[in-house]
Amino acid sequence: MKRGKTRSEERDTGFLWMVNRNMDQGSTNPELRITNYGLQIRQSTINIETIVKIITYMVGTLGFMSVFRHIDVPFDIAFLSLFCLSLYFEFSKKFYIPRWALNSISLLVIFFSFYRFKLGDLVTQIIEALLILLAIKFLEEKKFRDYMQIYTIVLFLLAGLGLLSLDITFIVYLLVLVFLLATSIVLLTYYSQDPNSVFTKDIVLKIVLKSMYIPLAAIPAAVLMFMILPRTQYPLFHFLNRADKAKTGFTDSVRLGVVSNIQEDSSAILRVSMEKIEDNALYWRGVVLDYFDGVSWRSSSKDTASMTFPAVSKGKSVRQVIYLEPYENRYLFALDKPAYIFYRGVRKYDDFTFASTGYIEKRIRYEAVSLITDTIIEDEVDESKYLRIPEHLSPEIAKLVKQIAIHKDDAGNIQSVYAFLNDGTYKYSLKNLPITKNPLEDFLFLAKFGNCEYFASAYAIMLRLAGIPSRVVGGYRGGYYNDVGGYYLVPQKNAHVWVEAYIRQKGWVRMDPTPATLDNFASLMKGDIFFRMSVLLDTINYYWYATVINYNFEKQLSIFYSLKSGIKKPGFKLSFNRAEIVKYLIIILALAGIVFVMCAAVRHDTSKEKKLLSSFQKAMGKHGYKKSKSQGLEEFLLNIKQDKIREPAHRFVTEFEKIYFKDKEFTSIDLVELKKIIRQITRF
Amino acid sequence: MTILLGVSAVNTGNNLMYLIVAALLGFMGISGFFGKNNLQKISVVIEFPQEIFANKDFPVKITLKNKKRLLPVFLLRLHVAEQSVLFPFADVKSETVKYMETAFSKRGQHIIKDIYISSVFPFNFFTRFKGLDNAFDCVVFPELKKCDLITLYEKGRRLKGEKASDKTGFESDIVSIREYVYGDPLKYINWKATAKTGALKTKELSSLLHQPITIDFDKVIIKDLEEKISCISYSIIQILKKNMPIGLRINDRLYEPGTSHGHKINMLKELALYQR
Repeated sequence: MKRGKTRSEERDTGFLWMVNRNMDQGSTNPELRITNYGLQIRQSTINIETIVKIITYMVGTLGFMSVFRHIDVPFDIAFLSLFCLSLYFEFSKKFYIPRWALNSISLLVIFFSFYRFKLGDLVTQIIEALLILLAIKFLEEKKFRDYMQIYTIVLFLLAGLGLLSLDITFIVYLLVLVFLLATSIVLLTYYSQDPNSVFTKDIVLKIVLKSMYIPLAAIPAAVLMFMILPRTQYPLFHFLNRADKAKTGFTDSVRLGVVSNIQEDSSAILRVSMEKIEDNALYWRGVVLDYFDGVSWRSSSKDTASMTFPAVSKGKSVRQVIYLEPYENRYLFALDKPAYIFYRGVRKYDDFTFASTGYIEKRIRYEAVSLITDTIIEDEVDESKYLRIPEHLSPEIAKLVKQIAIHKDDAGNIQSVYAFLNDGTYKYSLKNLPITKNPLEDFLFLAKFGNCEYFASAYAIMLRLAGIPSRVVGGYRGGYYNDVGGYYLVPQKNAHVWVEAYIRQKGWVRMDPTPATLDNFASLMKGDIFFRMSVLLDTINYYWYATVINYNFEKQLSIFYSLKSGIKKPGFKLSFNRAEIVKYLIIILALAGIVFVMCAAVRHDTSKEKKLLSSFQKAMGKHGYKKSKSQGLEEFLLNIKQDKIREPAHRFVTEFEKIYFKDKEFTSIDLVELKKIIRQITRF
Repeated sequence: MTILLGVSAVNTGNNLMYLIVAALLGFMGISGFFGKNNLQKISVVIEFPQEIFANKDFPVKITLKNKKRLLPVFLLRLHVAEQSVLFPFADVKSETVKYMETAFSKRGQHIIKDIYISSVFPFNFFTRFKGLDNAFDCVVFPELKKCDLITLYEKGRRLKGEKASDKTGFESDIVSIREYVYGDPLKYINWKATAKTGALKTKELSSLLHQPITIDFDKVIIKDLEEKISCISYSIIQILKKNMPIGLRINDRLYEPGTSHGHKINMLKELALYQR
């Protein structure tokens, strides 16, 4: 074969392909002519490039949306104005700024970002520069390569977002981007094969929908890749990971009389995966404060303790997997009283607190084992440390204690002081707290209301005045159990302090002098549907952190090992609970039922007349009359030799055609009538 | 880019970077699968018109069958010899037809093999190729070249005059008389027989035939063989256009004169394959 040209015709696919290159193929051309066959088809068509452009602008918007909160406002504004300008040029003016001019501006942007280079905030600076380069790229006249460059920049922006924030929104952006990119690149491939390609809407829709299979199939592949990609325990550029900003709520010192109103922060600090336990045992121990200077509590020097099993051997042991949000300290929280915490470089102190080596700058995961008990058995304590009274403490308080602590034994005095603070005189409040230099005195004698810090401080100091060693413990109280995820969500606002009093020969006993503590932290919110919803929604967050963010080398190894052992033991049994199996079976059956009903409904909807016709043909087939595909209904009737059958068949066809060829709807009465005739035919 | 992101993922230990890299790698793997699948379960049928003459454009019908159930065929290019046709989209379980105009330069049997399909789908990064085992053959008739041979035979025909055939027609002698059938032209009614029998009778005439011509291949004196074949082919076509019976003696074989289409094809085929 030597020379030649191609031409095409329209066939059952409804496909149209432009061959005549001289024709005007602007996106506005609603009519398409195939000259070779004199075929004129009026069908609205779409230019592939227009769709690619629209998707590309969507990709650009997505890239911007993902990072705009993390960069300086001037950059946001610069991007948005350039982006709007390019939109205006692209779609209404069809004007593009020459490449050389844009390239020079891009170079300037790069030089500028080198000029402001600071190692501390490297990622943000790169993102800012990339965003401006992206906006510049949009101003260009775009070829295949340029579109690909835009997509690359957006992917880098998303990677930057991953370094800046570990939020779950990342996965939403990534998923949307993956779908947009798949569609766009497939269409771009079409575009690269023939820049003038024009398709009917149907075909474009089919191409777009069918190309969605690619990202859909890529998702499981990506999940697998995510699990098996090589990881290291010692990343080199760890500094690039910027920590989530620390939140307020918990501090390692308690300061009184400084803040008048406390803002409640309902963001999560802890997610603790564990079994559900009684609400009154929900004390999350963080830090122990022993030194009071009259205004604030702090922690004096303390000794580290060995990790061996502690003296608190009584009580139920509870294993927890804890996800701790970043905050400005290094204490690791766990259910009171924590025996072990498994975390790299964790330090255990003799007051049953644990701390990491550095500040918790990113979300961490650790495991802990706690014993649920009120008492820490300790034979001997440094009494001078735990009985220390601030020098300028008001003597009024000492007088008060003398009146209350009248019992001879410590246990009795502990109870009487507790009863004094809890007799209803003192109220719990987060508002209008006294701002004063003598907070305890004002709390006890004037204001008579305060938050847990006032109650705990007053109680601890009063105990010390009564000769009972005491300390203040800071942590969290309560939490909301998420039944779906099987974990406790502890918000920042649940930050709490309580007191530990030392009873000689017994040990440290937990006392919580704040009135109706639990109500303050848990039951207040129980009826709130929005809060419940947000707790439920938090399940997604929890799984996101638990499975994606905290996936690491160790987990990778453990998956490999469990797979390996699973393969080695061919007879291993999966333990399933019968009730569970039944539950899942019911769910599966219900889903299958829904799908079946939907399919049936769709089928029913589309082919009323087809169904009728096929049952007619079936009935006729029983008498040996088969209608061939090319035969018309009336033609078919001519073949019928038996009058008995011809008569009803004729009646059916006339009635059917009366409705069908007049484009009328088959009413239920019609259907009944026609079916009656069919039954008549069958009966003969 | 994937490698770059991969390196940064490993070195930052950031799982979100890992997610991007995993998505890109997943994409690559899947795109490979889709690209491969795109070329599978496809059959191509090439159909030629019945009469192809050398050095004359003719359309080739190419039918692409997509036998897949789930995925359409995207952007498939079919390569035949040095030409290619693009099938941008072929729906599932459907046939798409395209025409390609082409021409052969030489007469004789042509076998078209080395047909292969290619596609850049899905991402225009690689082009995948796949050869098809099909082969299609066609016989290309000799090029038609105008020549004077035909006038020679015309002369001979005129000398001999026309002859009556045994088929019914309207030009020659009476063959029989039959019953009048409604619609017979009035001028064919045999009034004599009608009068005799009292019922309308119609004359049946035989048709006139041209004197048959037989071209004897060896007796045609044209030195160049190709020229000779072209000339004879041209004459056959021209004579048949006038509905004159023509025969051909070639390779010690005689094609009895005739006017049918099949007869024409047979003779042209013989000429096409002469000494090939």
